[in-house]
Amino acid sequence: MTSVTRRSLLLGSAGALLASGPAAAAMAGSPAGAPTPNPVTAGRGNRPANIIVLTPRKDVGDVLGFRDLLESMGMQAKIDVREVQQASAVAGMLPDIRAARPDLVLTVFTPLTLATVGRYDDPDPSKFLTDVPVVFTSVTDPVASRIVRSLEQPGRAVTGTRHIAPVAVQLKTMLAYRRWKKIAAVYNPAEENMVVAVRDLKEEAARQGVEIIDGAVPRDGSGRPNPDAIPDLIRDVARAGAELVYIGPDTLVASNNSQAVADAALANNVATFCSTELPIRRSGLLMGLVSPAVNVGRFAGLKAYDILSGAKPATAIPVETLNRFSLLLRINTAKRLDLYPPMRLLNIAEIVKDA
Amino acid sequence: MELTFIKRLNWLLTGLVSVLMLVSLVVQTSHFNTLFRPQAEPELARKAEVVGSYIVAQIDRAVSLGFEVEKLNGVDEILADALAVNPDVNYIALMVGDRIAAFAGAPDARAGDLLAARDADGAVAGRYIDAALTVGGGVPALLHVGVPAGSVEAALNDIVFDLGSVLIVAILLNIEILLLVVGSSVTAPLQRVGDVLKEGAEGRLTLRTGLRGRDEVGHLGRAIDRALDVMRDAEGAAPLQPGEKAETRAAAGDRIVTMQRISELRFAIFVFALAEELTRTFLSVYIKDLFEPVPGLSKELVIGAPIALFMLLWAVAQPIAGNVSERRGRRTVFLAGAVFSALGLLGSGLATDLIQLIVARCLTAVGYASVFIAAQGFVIDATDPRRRAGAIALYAGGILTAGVCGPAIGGVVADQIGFRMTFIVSAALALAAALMAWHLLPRHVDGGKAKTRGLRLRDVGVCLTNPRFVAVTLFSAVPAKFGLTALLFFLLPLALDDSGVSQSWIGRVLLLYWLMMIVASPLVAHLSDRSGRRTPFLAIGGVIAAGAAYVLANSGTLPMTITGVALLGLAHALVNTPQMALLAESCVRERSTLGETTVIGMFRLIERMGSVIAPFLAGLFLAYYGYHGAMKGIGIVLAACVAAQLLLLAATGGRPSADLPQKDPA
Repeated sequence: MTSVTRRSLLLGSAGALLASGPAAAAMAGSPAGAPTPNPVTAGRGNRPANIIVLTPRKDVGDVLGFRDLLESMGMQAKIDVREVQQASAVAGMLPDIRAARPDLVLTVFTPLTLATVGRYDDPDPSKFLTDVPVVFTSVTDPVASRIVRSLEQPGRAVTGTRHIAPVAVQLKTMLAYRRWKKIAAVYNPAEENMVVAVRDLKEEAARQGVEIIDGAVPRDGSGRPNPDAIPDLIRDVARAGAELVYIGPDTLVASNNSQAVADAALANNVATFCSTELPIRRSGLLMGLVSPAVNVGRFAGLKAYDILSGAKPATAIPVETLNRFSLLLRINTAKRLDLYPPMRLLNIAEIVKDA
Repeated sequence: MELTFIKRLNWLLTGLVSVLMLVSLVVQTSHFNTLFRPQAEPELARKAEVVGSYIVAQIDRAVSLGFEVEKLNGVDEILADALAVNPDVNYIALMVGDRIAAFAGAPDARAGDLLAARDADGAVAGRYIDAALTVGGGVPALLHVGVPAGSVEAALNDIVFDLGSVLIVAILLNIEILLLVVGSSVTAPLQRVGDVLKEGAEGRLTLRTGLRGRDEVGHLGRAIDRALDVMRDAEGAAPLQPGEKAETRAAAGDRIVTMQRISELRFAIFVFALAEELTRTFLSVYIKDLFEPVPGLSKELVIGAPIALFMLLWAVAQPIAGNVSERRGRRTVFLAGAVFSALGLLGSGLATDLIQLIVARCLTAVGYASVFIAAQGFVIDATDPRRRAGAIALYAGGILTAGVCGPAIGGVVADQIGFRMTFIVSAALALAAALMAWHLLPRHVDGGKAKTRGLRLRDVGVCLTNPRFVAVTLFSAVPAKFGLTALLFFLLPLALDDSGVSQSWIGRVLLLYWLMMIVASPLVAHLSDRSGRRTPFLAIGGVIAAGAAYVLANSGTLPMTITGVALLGLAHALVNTPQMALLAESCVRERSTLGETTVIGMFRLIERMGSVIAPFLAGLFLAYYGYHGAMKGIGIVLAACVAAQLLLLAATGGRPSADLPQKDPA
């Protein structure tokens, strides 16, 4: 187990906004500002709402937060959590999902969400779920991924929450630690949202006078990105002068191979930054600016509640991000790298200690 | 009215109050050193500890996370952050061993890696009170927080100076109230009693005191009246005609009421003038705050505009208001003027841009001109020529006193409640003056008095052909007003505010000018009258004024500024009375053809033009040469005027002298 002390972080312009409205309610864990808990169930008749959750792992914070919020709002719901390891498996599950006649489907992360609802400009009912409201959680960039037409007006019965701090705020946080000159972005080129995220990072870095080294994970003979190449990749970028390795909301690199990244970075004496929570807590990465997954899930739960209680149709609910982020800092990695954090950051950081 | 009685009482009470205040000042000061100081220093050290403990907590947390204290990163930054939110802390230093690991604050507190402020015998150590806090961790580390040791001294000095200002203000207020109370209820009736008895001694028993008061003076008056009645009856003279008796009594009563009214009017004028003087220390700063760029005009020129317009409108409105008050009555014009001023001051306080402020200031100027000319008119109407000069001096004294009290009080008030609220207080004072005038000025009755003729352009021509009139007016009086407005009302408050001097201090500095005027003016009048010489006073005064501008231009420190202001006050005291005497002596022909009032009126009007051009010229100088250059430039203008005046006076011989009323409102 990792022991954790909590401190909230208000960073930069985007991050400095105080949490308000529904985001605040989701974070505070109580339905403050929301309608009084309504024990009336959703959908047809008076039965509990039928919800199916599609997630890569059952224990992600998003699902816990989602379940917790619906409970605290007094919603009667049957929540059926299905673990889906590969996004490609979703297509085969669709008939089964339809047969269960759910009132709402929750999808976790970009790949599963995209596999479930498809692109808004290619709505093929035979391949995707189009007749059930879908709420997603922890999707990096739903517009770039073409899940919704715009954040304010999704354009179809698909809405949800994002979990990544704006790229400018992330870069500002990295630079607050040290004034890095070269940062390597290690990412899976097959994940479209990561291609977009790295492009945005490069643009912002150019404005700040920081060089971004492109660390796309090389593909193997069959054209699939090869996670086994990550240690060599990190050695190469370190030799190229990278002082920090950035990993984004990347399923291959961050979710599945964060330990490899952390170990290789330590071996090459390079700092690490991650924009999602779990990899920092699970492996020896140095730091990250994150929306705690539980809170993102709670926020998704609030949107689901609005849909199920009939307060708003899914098409009218905007896609949102929490506007408060936490700075996570792993002290032992800082000590091993001999990179003491600046006192200003240390004062606002949530310290992650090794077990 | 002769003020012998008041003067004696005044000196007695003033002396008493002064001694009491001085004693309390001494007691307080020594108390501060024995009682306040030992308490204040630990208090300051405690404050330093509070600031320090907040930082120590942060460092201790880092240490508890396993970081080594000497390797901590960015400690300088958090020290600087703490310093930024605690402006009264001088330095914060993290010492590991005896070396500085991180430092923020006054550069003189550190000497390389060592903390100079901590050296027991160093000169630096005396400047700071240092608090040391232990930081956790394996190595010995201390956090030092320094606060200025001098702040106790500075606070003490400020209190002493405040008490000094209060002393002066209290003495003057004392005089005001004495004049009001004693003048109206003692001196005037006693003078009347004296007049009646003198008549009686010469065998004319028809005059009565007409006093009806319930106090001792009234009792005395009634007793004398009864005694006179009895004596007259005993003499067997024909009984007094009922009409005659009533008339004398009524006339006597009126005269007393008049003198009482002038005493009370002086107080009303004092309160009214105080309203404007309260804003003296910060008016130019306030204008600067509201400044908005005007295309084609420099900032300094625009800032000068409201003050110049104020002076111009005052100068122009005064003769007009004088005329109106003769036709419509002094009371009406006084009340209207006071209400105008109150509205103008209120508007000045509420103004959100420069245009609004200028409009409000113009309204105030018209109000001022109206009030002062109406009050002067009332005094002239109500007195016979024999007592007029004294009565005018009495009423004008209120304005001078307000000049001393106003900036001193206003500076303190502005420091406490801000500029805008001070304007509102001023507006309330102007209204209070209006209320007093409402009660004491008689309603207008037409007829009786001969109207004085108004100023005509042709009269100006007549006077300006007299080179001695030109010398006194254009080259002595105008530069005096010019120097006063440019230096004291415009440049100095701006310059002092810019260099961070508090409003209270600006008030004290300005107070000095008026104090010099009050103290030195009677002395100069006496000397000048005894020697019968005027020109040397004007020349010396003019040179000192130019010198004062030069001192102010080169003053880097407050004592130098104070010297400059005192010199300017002395200079103006030197020229003030001799100017009027020389005017009377030089314009015998003009006085006989145009009348005394017209000549003086013209003198005042032209003189005021100095105040009008002052802000513009000072603003222009300021734009090009900065504060010091501008003051120097004004000094050069003043010096040039002295030279021109001397040349003119030397070219024309002296003429026989005659007296004119010598005092007039500023």
